[in-house]
Amino acid sequence: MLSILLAFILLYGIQLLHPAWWWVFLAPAVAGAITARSGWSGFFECGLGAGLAWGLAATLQMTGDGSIISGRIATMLQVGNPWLLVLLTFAVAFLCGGFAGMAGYYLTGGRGKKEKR
Amino acid sequence: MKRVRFLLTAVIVLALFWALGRPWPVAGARIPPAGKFLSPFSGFWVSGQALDALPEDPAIPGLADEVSVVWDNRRVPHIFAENDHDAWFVQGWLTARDRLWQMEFQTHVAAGRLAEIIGEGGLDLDRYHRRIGLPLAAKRALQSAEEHPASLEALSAYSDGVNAWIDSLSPAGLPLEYKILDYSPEAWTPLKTTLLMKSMALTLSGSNTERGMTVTREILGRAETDRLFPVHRPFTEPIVPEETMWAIPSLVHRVPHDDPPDLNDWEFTPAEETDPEETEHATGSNHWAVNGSRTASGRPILAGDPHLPLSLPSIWYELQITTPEYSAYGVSLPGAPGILIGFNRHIAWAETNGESDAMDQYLLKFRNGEFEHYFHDGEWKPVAWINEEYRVRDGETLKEKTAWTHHGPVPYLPGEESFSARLVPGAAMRWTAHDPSNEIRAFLELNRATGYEEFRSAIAYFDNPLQNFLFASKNGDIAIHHEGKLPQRRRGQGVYLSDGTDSADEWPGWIPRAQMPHVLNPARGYLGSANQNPVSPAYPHVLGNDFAPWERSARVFHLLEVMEAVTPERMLAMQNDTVGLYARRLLPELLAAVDGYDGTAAERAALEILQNWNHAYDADEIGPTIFDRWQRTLLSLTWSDDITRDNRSGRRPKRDTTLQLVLSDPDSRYFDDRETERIETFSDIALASFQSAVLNLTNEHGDPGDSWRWGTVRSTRLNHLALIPGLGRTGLATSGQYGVIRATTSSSGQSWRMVVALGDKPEAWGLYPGGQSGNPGSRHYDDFVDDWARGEAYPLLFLESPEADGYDLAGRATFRGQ
Repeated sequence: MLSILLAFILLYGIQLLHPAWWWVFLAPAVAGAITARSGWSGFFECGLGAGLAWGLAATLQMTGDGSIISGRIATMLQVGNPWLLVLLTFAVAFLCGGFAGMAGYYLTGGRGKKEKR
Repeated sequence: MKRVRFLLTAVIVLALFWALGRPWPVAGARIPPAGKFLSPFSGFWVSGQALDALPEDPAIPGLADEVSVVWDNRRVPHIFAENDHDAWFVQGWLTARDRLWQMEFQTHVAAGRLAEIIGEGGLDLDRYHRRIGLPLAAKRALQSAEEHPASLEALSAYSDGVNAWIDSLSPAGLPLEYKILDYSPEAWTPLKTTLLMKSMALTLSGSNTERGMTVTREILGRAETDRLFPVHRPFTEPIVPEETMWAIPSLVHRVPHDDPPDLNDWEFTPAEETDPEETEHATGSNHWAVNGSRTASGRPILAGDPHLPLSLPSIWYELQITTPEYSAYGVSLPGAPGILIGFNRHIAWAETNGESDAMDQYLLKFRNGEFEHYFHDGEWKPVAWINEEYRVRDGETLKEKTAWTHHGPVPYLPGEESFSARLVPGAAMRWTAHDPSNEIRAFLELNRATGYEEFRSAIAYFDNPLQNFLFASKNGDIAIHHEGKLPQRRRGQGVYLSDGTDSADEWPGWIPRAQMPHVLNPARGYLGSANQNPVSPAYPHVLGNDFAPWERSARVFHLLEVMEAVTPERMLAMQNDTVGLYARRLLPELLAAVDGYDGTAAERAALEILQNWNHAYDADEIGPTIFDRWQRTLLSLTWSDDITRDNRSGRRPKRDTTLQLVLSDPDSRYFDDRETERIETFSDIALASFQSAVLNLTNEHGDPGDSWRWGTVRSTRLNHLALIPGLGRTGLATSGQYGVIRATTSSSGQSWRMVVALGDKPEAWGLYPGGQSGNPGSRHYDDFVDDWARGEAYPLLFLESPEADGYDLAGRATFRGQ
């Protein structure tokens, strides 16, 4: 749960200041390195945190300023419903954030290592 | 173990970073880089309406003084600058802010650099543009502009404004198309502006019918081909009133080369030339002006509607530019300073395409397969080679050469496949667009012209593409000039492929500009043009041979002739006129030919609809759908067998020629189907084409009914400029047709409707199909489109000062230097 929260807050907060897309790896990696309890916990929890951060941001865009563009891009990518783009955005962030969180955990041992001590 | 796991996951992360950070080819298209593109903080999600926020008093390095900008409720910027430099600078900045990707993409295409953006798929178009010398023509135009300080200042200031906007962009703020195609803008230069102008020249004067005409001559013979393709088309009333006397001596030409080259002497296989009428008439235009004797106000009214291929973003960007010296309003070309079609406090102007012949093709004889020398005037002359380097995205850079002769470039060598069916491999092209010229100067001076003499002096700088410049002034003058640089030719020269081995077929000089067709204040009180021949046979010079048929111009002249106490509202209604004179003359003949025929239920229903049709191409009518298919089939059945020999297809005569045959010679041999033993006449072909048309329409759309409505069957689409799905508009149920005043086709039409009533203060109306924003995520991307499809036009806000009290505005800002 802590990893989810940290990955979410870190990613969302940093992206507001610096919008480069590759933070979707770095922020969850940091979260995984600090808070993950295992490799798989790093994957699922950091992935979920990253997915939620991007998914929420995409939802806010789609229901606000990005309502027209999401419809056009849904047509362009032939996905039909623009909500599928939110899902796709979530999925990409989940995948990136998940593996980055896992790598972060394996780099430091995360919270599990500290608890064992 | 953890170290191994870390390495494994790190490799996966790096692989994801790589895979999601680059575009991927899928089914012939390129999928944007998923990670970058889907990011809700920098990808497509942020290309929404947030970008619509207007700037708040920006400080921009490069401005000399403060500039006030007011945006009206249609987001049209009104620039109030203290000097020309700042006006053009801010025009560049504002245009880039709304249309940067469009400006850049169009100039990449014109420069033959599309492959740098989309990869190998752009190479053929790149080769075409480079080989016909578009970049070289742009360089020469820039050199001309550099010789005129005011033009150079305009181009430089505009570029600086564009670059100031580009410099302010973050990756997240890039226009959507850069994110889709995954590239970044480069610095704008004055050369890009001249490239844009030459691209326009290609659209409007790059058409060439000599290949098709030459094949037709091979099949039908010279005399018959000349008869079927007359320079002075049937039923046509010229732009300059026929009674005009020309006190101009005929130019003395060198010895005529009356024995044109025999195609069989040259080794090329003419490709089949299709001649779909819609393609042929995608570019054209109308305009007209009436003087005070015919208007309710006693002052002139001018109307103009250029017909061009339609796209999103639109080709036009609307704005007002005001300095202490002048104030001009109208549409600009995104990427070029000044206003191209519009009005100021004193005058209004509009252009239609002149359609005069600005290009000839010269068949060459090369010494051998190395193409190092070509034969000319009895000697072998060396071919000059221009090195071209094509950078291809995700591919190898290609180095090729383009051959140039003294005529001009040889776009395709013998044995090569031509990108354009109209260009003959092994022929050199001589095109006036290659000559140095400074069209920008013409528009900059036009923007500030206050009367006829200044108008005339401004357009004298306009060389290519040839345009009909229409003029009206508040002091009562109306005028039209067929303006541009046109070679002296003898009668018949340039109709067919020319002999490149003999200088007798070359251009000995230019028609003096003062002798180009023009008229000021005609007695009849009105002027107009719709791409028809500007002059009657009494005019002594040769202008061209492929002018538009008579219907649009005749309808314009007829309506103006009978109209009294003209008001702007009646001019706006006239721009929406959909009556087809071709249908009005041909349909009775067709109906008479099938009179008494008792066909199927669908055929009987179709005939009844046509008998009650008023010849108006309105979107909810069924008559135009049936007539259009019927006449197309008739033209095809009439001519296909006559202009095809040994797998060579010539050019099909235009519909006015066919109508003339129907009216004067219904038993003409051209109506006979050469593949049957019977001798068919017009009546036989009329019935056969009717049966075929109704059968095909029924197969495609069911029984006659709502599904046959013109606006449904022939809807209009506005494709995205780069043909990106989802970013265009399709299925617009439009009225009109290429042969009526409201000249709409499935992909082209009135790209700008404008009516200006001159007076103490000009009153104007206008509309273009698109929106001021080039951002597909903005509601201002296409917010004019539905009104355009309905035939409406907006009142244009001509502001005298930036205070603009009492007007409904979207915003205002003061631009300052740093």
